[in-house]
Amino acid sequence: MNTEKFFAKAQAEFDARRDPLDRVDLVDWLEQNPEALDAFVNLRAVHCRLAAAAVSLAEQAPQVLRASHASQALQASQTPQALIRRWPFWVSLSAAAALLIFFSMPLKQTTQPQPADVVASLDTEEAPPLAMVISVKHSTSGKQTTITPTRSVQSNGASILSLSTTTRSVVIHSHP
Amino acid sequence: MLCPVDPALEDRLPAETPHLRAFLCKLAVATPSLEVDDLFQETVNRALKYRHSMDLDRPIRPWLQSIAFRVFVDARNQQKRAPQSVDPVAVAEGIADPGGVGVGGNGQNRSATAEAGRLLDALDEPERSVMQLTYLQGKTTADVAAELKIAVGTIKSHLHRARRRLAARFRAEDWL
Repeated sequence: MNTEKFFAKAQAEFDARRDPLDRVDLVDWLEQNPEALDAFVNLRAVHCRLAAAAVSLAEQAPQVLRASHASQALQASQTPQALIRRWPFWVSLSAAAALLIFFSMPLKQTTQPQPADVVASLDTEEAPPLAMVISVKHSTSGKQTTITPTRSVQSNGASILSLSTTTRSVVIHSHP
Repeated sequence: MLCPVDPALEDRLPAETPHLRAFLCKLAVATPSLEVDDLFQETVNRALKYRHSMDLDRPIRPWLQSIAFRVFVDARNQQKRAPQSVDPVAVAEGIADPGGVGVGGNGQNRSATAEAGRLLDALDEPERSVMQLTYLQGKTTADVAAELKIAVGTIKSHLHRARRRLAARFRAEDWL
C-alpha cells in the first residue's frame, strides 16, 4: 500500500464516520511510514473537530426547537386576533376596575366608621389611582352585595381585601 | 548507575517538545479521557529507552512521532478493553473512542461548533456546502449528492479535498 492508497482508505473511513485507527492494517502502515503520521494526524483532527461540532448541534437542537416553539407561542399570543379571543378576560378586568371605582368614589372621603346599613366602605391612606385594576367578583342577591376579592381574610364576618402598591394601600370592608 | 542521556537526543528533545505536545493533542482530540501530559511523559520515557534506534542522520521528529503514535494507540487500546461509559452518539459519529468518554461536555461542544464554523468559512464553494451538509447537518454522502444534484463521487472528492486543505492549514498554523 502506497501513501496515496493509504490516504484514500483513511478518507473512506472518515466518509463512513469511522476512525481509521480502528483498522489494524492502517495503523500498521502508519507505524511503518512515520513520515505520513503528521499529515494523517492533522487530517484526523479535522474530521474529529467537525464531527464533534455535529454532535454538539445534535445536542443543542432540542433546546433550540423548544425555544423556537416558545417564541412562536409568545408571538401568537400577542397578535390582535389572540387579544380579541381573550375578551372574557378584558371584560372581567374592566368590570373589576369599574367596581373598584364604584365603591371608592363615594366613600374615599369618608374616614369615620360607617353605619351598619352601609354595605361597603373604603379606607385609604390616599385616593387610589383610578387606573388601578383589581380582580374581584361582584354579585348582588336582593339588597346584599358581596365582594369576593382574590385575596381575602375573613374577620368578624367582613371580607377584607388588601391591595398593595409600591406607595399606597387600599382596604375595602364589605359588611354582610 | 543511571545511563547518561544520548547528547544528540538530549540536545534535540527540548526543541521538539512543543511539536510533540501538539501532535499528541491532535491525536487525543477525540479521546479527552487520555491525558496529553501522561502521553507526553510516556513518549519521552520510551524515546529515552529506545534512543539506540534513533538514526542521527535523519530528522528526529518523525521518529518521536512514531513513538508518540504507538504510545497513543497502546493507551487507546487499553481504554477500549476497560469497561467505561460510552457516548453512543459520539461513537456513532466515529469521533469518540469506544474506550473513552465521548467528546467533551456541552461547553466544549459549543466551542467546537463555533470553531467548526470558522474552519468551514475558510473553504470555498462548493466544498464549504458539502462539508456543512455532511458534518453540521449529519447528512450522508448520498443525501448531499441528491440535495446538490452532484454525483456521489464528486461529493467525496470535495470532502477529501476540503479535509486535506483544512489539515494543511492546521499543520501550517500548528493548530490546537
